Amino acid sequence: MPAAIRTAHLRKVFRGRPAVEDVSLEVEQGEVFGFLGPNGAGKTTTVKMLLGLTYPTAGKLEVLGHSPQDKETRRFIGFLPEMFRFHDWLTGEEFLRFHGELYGMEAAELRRRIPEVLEQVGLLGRERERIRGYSKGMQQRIGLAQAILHRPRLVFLDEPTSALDPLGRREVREIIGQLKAQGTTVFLNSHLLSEVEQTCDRIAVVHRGRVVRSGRMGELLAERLEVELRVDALSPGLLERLKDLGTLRSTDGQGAVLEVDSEAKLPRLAEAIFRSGAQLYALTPRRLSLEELFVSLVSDKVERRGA
Amino acid sequence: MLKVARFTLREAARKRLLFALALLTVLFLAFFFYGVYLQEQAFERRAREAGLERFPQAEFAWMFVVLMGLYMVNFLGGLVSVFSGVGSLSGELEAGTLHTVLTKPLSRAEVVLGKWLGMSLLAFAYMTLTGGGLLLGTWLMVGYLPPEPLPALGLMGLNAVLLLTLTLLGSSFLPTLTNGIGQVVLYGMGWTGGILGFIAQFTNTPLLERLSKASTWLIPTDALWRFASYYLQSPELLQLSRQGPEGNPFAGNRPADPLFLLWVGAYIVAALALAVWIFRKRDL
Repeated sequence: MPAAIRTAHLRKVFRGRPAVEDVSLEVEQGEVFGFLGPNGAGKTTTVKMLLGLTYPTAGKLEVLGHSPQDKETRRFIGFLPEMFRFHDWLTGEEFLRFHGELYGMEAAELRRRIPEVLEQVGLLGRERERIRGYSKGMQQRIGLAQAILHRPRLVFLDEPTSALDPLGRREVREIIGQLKAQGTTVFLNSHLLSEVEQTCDRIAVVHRGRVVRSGRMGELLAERLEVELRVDALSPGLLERLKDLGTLRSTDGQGAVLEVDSEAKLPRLAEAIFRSGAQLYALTPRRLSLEELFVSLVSDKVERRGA
Repeated sequence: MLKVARFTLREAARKRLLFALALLTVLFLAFFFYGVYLQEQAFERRAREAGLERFPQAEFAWMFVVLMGLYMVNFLGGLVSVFSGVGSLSGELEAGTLHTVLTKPLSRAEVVLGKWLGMSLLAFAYMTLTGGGLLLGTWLMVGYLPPEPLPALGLMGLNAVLLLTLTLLGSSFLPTLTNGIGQVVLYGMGWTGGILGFIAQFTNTPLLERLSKASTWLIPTDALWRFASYYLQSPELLQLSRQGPEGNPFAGNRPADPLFLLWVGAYIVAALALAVWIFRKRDL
């Protein structure tokens, strides 16, 4: 089975200004992949290249083992754009039928499948209304229905919950879960890190057109720990020793907050405190949330550039 | 490709584009027929005053009336072509509605060709039906029909398709507004070229005449009308116009040149091929 997505040193330059510098990704079939990055990091450009809308300046890419220009391959791909705007003079049902026909679906299959996806996105009963009259959230829902109508093997969802309320977001999370259960690969572009944290198996973080970190969600989050220490007195010698073991975030006379890169550092911290002769009152490790990881990845880079 | 063509036609119908156009066209025709009616009354009155059954120059007058009427239809049909095609690709890209279509299993060429087919049919039908309606109405009212209405309508329809194709080409790489302005300017240039040609012959200025010839081949819209107008004039009038400088700014005196028609055909195919090529190369 080929990878759902494989890119190598993908690069895109618009009129001398690089939008994507170097993006190498590998997304396995059946996984939910989160593609994160601040605004202007090159996420949308990368997605457009993966969909064949934009041509890369350099690098290689394969989608389901083929070029995204391959018509047959596109039959198995679904796409919900970030700036979703559809032919709003159609009713929801007509819209789905038109897109279904473009996918090459048969009339009988469409008759069966359209009510199914309408139900799935919570629009059943509204399909005879014109899209023009839909709220922004309903338009995003019908767009999602369009993306999954043909039971694709790979779905690109670009900010799929940007117009939805918390309830709608939860429904989309559930839909992503259903897609995963059916073996569909989901490529999710999102700013909503808590959502990504809940839904994605693996992520890649892009910043300034480069992948700065990628990996399994659990592993990435386990990579860094924040440890809060409380001791009777923090001597300068101990402080120096702590700085060797991790990054000091804050300190006062009787405690410190440190960031360490693995759990293995925890016993070594305790040992260092013990050896220094200080009394240890508390050593509380805390996993970084995805948001904290994201901020540290992205702001580190900013500082480095600024320096 | 046919799916896109069908969709384009349905879009025109649904967006009330056709409805609004039809309404305006009916207004235009009503205005025209009212003029014909008034003229007819005047002719009858004058025939009565002279004690004749029919006004002797009536036939001649109707020929001019119909010629001018179709001249307007040709102009309006041209504008309809430009305005219906102006945002066909660029507008949909700007709105973002085309992105979900272009990621479906169909090539960009199919999208361009499908849109072209749908809109060409519309533009051709608008031109020929409006022109045909004008001829039919006049015939029913006063019994006048130009010598060869069908080739004239066909050439006008071809003109509509030509303008539409050029507009689609513009739409493949220009923003909608720029394209709209550009097309109207081009259309105007073709028109000016024709008038210049007339002035050149009238004043015997060979350079201007060459310039006008070049514009005729470059933007063949005005020349197509001149050929169309030939079929609307009686042999006597054509005879008359051949004696002076060639034709007048509004009508030609030569039948359609097959070589020129071939050129227009090749022109349309080339413009369409260029539109496909540009659109395929583009980052969207």
